[in-house]
Amino acid sequence: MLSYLAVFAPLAWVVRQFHDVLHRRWDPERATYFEPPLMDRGSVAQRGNRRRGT
Amino acid sequence: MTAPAAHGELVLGISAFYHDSAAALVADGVPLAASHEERHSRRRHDASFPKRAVAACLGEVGATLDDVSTVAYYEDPRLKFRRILASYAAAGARGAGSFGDTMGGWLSYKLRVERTIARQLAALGLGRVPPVVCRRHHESHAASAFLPSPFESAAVLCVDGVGEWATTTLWHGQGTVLRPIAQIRFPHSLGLLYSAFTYFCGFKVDSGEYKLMGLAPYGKPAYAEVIRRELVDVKPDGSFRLDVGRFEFLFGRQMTGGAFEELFGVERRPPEGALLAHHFDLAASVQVVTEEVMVRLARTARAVTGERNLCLAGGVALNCVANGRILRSRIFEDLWIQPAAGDAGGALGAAMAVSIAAGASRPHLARGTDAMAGALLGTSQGERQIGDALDRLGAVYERVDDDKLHDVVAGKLADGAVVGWYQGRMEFGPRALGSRSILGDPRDPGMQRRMNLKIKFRESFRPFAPAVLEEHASEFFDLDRPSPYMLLVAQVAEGQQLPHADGEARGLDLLHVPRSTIPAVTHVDGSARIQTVARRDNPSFHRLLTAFHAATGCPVLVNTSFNVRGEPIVASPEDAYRCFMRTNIDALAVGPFVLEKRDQPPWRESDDWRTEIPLD
Repeated sequence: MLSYLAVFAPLAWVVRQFHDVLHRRWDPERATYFEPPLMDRGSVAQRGNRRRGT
Repeated sequence: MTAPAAHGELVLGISAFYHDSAAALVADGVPLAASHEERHSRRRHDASFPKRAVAACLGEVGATLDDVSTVAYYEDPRLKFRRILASYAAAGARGAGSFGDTMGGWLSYKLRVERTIARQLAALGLGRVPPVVCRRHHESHAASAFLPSPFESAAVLCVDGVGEWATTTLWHGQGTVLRPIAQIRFPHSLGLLYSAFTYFCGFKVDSGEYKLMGLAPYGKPAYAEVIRRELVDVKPDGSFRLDVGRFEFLFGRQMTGGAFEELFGVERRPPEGALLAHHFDLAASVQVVTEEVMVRLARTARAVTGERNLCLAGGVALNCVANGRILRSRIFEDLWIQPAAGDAGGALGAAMAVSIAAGASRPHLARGTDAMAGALLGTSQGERQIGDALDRLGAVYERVDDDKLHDVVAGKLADGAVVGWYQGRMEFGPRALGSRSILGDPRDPGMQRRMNLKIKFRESFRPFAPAVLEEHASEFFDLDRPSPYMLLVAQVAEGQQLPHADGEARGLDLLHVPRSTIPAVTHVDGSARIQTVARRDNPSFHRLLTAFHAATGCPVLVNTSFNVRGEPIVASPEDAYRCFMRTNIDALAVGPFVLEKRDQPPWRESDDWRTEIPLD
């Protein structure tokens, strides 16, 4: 418990800024909760397909 | 083992370390073998490295690791770890209890998964270890849904609990290309919503969802409005957010807590506790909401992609009631669901994705079929191997020529026997499809109760599913297309329904009301989870159904998996004989050998075997 707090208490605030998805509430003003897909930097398929010109 | 054949560039796919570990082999875009680790380790939902499944797949195709060019792992551990850390940061002090347990695994073997896999493969001694690459979790699901499908192009929808971050993803598949379109991220998850209700109704998460789905027709959606108002906000396009504060899964130990009990005014049902009216209604309610979300998501998929076909994967795609609702909505002209839609299928999807990226095509498209070979991608044994196993067990059997086997077994079924059927290659995916099945006569009104209580030793409310000759399916069910993987639910056809009135019957009392000419496979709402059997997918099972049809006029059989509750489906002749002898199965057909229970020597076990198998 103590090690958890010592390591994560200061990180928690930082992480929360970058992962606010965990705290998003309902929003009746929004038309959609869909988000764009993550850019797949590591996708071999994407690179492979581009090589084939598809 | 199937006959060794020259195979192209092999890719080995692996899913492991969370639940339902599996291995799959793909060559030039063609799945050759796939197997669940649990079948070989005999530990249900085995999450450990699938060393037995890897060996089994390689053995089945006569290959070694020297023949494998790449190993594809089904998710990105670094991205997943960031989500885990973010979750604990959000949980604050409430996450401290599970933090140590979770970090232990991550820091020891999960984070550097490539190294872990390489070490595990090296220990198998099956050749040199190929390079290991990782694919994203939902990419693996999408690849498993689209690439083996019979569609040149399609919309692809993947819905599960959670991968790295994504819980719902929408894709557009064209040719060999899968383009991501949109996503919904953790903690907003339809799979976790369903699992929360699974947990609240006293069932095990990741195995009990199927039971909750089977419970739903006994109830009414009395809580659906509460769910929509308080738990999940669903937009017209199907996107959604949960009210995360009502759930406990962020804190690691359990799915729901006091907030759920306060909301619904009832306590969580203890495991194996009595099923009461509100449990049926909770099941019906979350099922209705899940179906609504899935139908809206399907509509969005159609609108965004313009495609006429839809492919589905992810654990929620195992909800065959929702799948049937999507089909009947006519949003799409056709629907294809990966038979191993859960995480085990991620092994196949990852391998397919890497194989395609290396230049493979989709050769099955030219045949107008899918690439799953009827989902019969697991291991098999030859006559000699089966015979030797039966001899070691002291079994008494008769060898029957292949031209008589199906008539002999059909005759036993027609006489009311319950028969264990073990033939050919094992299924990949959670459903038994006529290779590792327990079969019975669906016309018998006592068959459902008999099979639940005396053979499967499972809860009495659980329905059984029919296998029907594809060419006769529309006579018995409101289904206008094949359903080879038992992933679609439809109503029993009007011509087979019996006049009935439920009257005052509620809950489990609904079981006693006869509803159709095939009561053993008709659920209390008149529905059935259908497997259509075509000769091309499973010739032996098709012959058996044909023989039963000739003997009785009924082209339908009860088809349930060859196992008892809590046990994985049988994977060897020894497993099959053991299950046969431990239960009230009357006869067993394993390969060409037919066994009668009354002829067998007494079955002796030193302990009560039921205590050895954890309940699921």
